[in-house]
Amino acid sequence: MLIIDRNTSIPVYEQIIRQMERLILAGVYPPGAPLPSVRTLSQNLEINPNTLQKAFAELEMRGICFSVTGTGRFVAEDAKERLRNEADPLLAQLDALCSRLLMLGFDEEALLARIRALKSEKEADLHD
Amino acid sequence: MIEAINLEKKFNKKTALEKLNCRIPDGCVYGLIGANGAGKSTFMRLIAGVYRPDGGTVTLDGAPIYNNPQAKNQLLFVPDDLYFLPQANMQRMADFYRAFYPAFSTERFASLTEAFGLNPKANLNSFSKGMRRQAAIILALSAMPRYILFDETFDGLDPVMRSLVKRVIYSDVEERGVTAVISSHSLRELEVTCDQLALLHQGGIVFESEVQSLQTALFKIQIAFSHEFDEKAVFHGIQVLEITRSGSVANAIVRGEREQVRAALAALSPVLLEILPLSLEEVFVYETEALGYRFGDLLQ
Repeated sequence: MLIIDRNTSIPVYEQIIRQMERLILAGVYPPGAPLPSVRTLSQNLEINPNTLQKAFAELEMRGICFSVTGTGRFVAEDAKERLRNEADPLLAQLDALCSRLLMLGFDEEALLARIRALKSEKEADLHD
Repeated sequence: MIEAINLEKKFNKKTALEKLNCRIPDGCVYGLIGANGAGKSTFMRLIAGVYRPDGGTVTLDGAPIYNNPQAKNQLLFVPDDLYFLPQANMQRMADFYRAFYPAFSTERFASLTEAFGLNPKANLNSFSKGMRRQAAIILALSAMPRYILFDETFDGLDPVMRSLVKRVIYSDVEERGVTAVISSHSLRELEVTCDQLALLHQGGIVFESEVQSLQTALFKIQIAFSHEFDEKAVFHGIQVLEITRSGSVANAIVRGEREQVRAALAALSPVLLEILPLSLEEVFVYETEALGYRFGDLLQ
């Protein structure tokens, strides 16, 4: 389920998008699965329905989900691929960071260990 | 849609609203923020048709609201100073509202009075100030108007009640395309409730925007280099609202497309590059300062 933090300065709209992406990537909502309705989320999380609508509209525009009139919203078959393709600029940033760290004398193993640690942290998060 | 064009209101010689322009689309939750005396209540009374404009127009779906019963029975205004019929209880007030609002929902009235734990048969004079406010909110929500106006109504509610009221409003917005206009002097309150915000100052709207675009258009950048640098040169070609520097770290408030700005700055290979969102309060500070106001003057 989505968790909205009211105490951060990250806009609610962005929090919704990031968390939906995360839930889709984690397989909580697999391809073709229905997404929770704006109505349900608005009532459960006490979020303005217009804010939710805009967040979902953005995900739809990016082809991550689609809506069927009168039925609801569903995860696109290729949602994960699309999200992965969007990661190119992030990978470029990672390249820059890694080359800098290697230059500073960190070895590959140290960097890989960090990534492994992050991964198990994320997995622990999902099991919460 | 509610639209105000060059709206003016004077009391004796004092100008309360001056050339106010504003457009409130259907189905939105519209927040009005401003200091005491900025004109929030005057504007709401003009929308509700309580006051006659001294200049300009305020219209609902194109029709002027003052002295127009067709427009007025689509909207309901909960003022800051509540009014109830003398010696009335909530039941009597419900009958009174039903006469003007044909869509009045008896079921909603019953379920809300129960949820709030109010006795509909008790004289409203026996209610505390907070309970009278709750009673007014229940009556307003039960009347099922298309436009509902709350003048600082939420500021006096406890958190549990506030959350209940918000849910009812959200469901009305979602299901029936209801438009809610809420005034408050708490930005925090409006930030989480509304999707559109307008800032009033000295009888005019300083700016209005969608909450979401307000919050994403500006951001804070922290950048540092391992070598000497000139912050003006670093941010060349980027719209900077403010820049401060402490030692080798520069902080800037920037307007623009976040990823583009990030890419442009990353190309300079900084040792530190952080992009942080601003809180809505910070956005208000910078936006109003950019317009030549000092934020301190706007909100106490």
